[in-house]
Amino acid sequence: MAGFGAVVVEADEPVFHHDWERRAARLTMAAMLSGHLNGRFRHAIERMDPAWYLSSGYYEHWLVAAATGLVEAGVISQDELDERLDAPFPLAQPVRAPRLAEPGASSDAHRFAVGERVRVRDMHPAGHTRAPRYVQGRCGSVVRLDGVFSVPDVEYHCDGKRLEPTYSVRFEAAELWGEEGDPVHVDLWESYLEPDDG
Amino acid sequence: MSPVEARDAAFAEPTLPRANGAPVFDAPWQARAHAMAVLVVERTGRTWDDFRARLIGAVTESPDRPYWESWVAALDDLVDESVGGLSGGAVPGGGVPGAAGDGPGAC
Amino acid sequence: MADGHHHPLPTTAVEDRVAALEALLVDKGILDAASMDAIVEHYEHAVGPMNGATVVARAWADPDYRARLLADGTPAIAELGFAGPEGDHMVVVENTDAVHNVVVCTLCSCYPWPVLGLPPNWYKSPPYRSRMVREPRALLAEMGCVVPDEVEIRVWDSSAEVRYLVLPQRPAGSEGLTEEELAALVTRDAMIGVQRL
Repeated sequence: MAGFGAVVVEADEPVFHHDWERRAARLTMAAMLSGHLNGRFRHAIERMDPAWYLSSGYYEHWLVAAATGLVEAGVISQDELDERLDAPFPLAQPVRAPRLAEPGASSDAHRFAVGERVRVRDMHPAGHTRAPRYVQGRCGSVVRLDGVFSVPDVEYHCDGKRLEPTYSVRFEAAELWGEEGDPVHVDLWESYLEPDDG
Repeated sequence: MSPVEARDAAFAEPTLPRANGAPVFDAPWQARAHAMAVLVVERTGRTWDDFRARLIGAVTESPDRPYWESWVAALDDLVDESVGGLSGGAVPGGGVPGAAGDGPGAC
Repeated sequence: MADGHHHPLPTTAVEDRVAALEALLVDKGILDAASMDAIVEHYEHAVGPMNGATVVARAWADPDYRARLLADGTPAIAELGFAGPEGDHMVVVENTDAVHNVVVCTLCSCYPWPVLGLPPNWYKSPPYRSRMVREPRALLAEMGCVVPDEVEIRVWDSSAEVRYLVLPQRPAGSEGLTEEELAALVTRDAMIGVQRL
């Protein structure tokens, strides 16, 4: 996503601009607390039709993700939604990636050290990844070792979880964009990284 | 169900991920713990600053334990001090029923 | 997915769709409106940048606290009674004469709720999310934050579980102010990194 123009700032903006936004937040929080959403929520937002995603606001994304996640969890059905709305209730696009049979082995020992040079793999995932595209294939230095967490790429497509160490990695602007500029630090799971052998 | 039992039910998480045997508390647990605290505060007629003061006290008392243990301790304090238990309504975190009118000292 | 069909773009107003899902969730016992109102109100009013400002003011006033905050953000923030979802793994990054920090979430809009509340629209917008990593200096200047040439801008993309809080530099002339007065100087935008105090 590049070249989007001005960032519009509204002074003293309220948390909710409309009552429907507040109600969307309310039902989303309830759905999250029910325990049925978890990783489905964030993934569902990413599966929205791109034109729809870009032309709708944050709380509409929440509405769609809550509805989609609950349908995928089997708690509500598309038919029930359509009936309540008395019209087709649009959801995010279905999950296309195949389910993983096994999450793979978890690890809690950091493989890389602060100062080490690493390269981000080219992920090309069918499903979800939290390796931002702009750093895939790029090299940087580890600046911080962070905690051990469930890998979203696995969690969203598997019944099991795989836990891995995470890192903050610093990338120079020349590396990312081919011109001088300021560095960007990105937080990455260990399996996104490989040693940079020069 | 007493407020403490309701809290315990909300905190129960059979699929809690663990690393090295210590729980790695993930977002759904945090959200339920937080929601529980908000509701206890609201239904006992206290303020969030009351809870916050207890959280500060609990953290100061045991600065080395994970903050979530202090959170639970703070919530316990608030619940123990509440007069008349929790009023009305369901408590989020798995359909746990409300604990209306259990009376003082129900926990 | 249980169903094989999904529908394309919406043909109904978002308010109607919210009402439909809401009614369905109430009937299924997933949404208890009264309980959830308390929780939403909490995020609207009780959680917000005044929390982060309290943390910053304490760090300015107390060098030992500042050291603890920079070494491990989550417990130091919890010392002041702030904690909760989206704040369980806090890293505080300090602005200095040589470094200016700014936070973004390019993948969605991750934000440190316990210290800053819910994020403003501009933070969640596609232009902010894509341009802050691509051209931070120019975007900051457009947003009214001019960073001197000799100061390095460090952009932090919260793409995993860590949530960031920027510790702004204490403004000149603020010596002798109480912590409360110091907190009043701290803005949300300075703690995200799009403003210099």
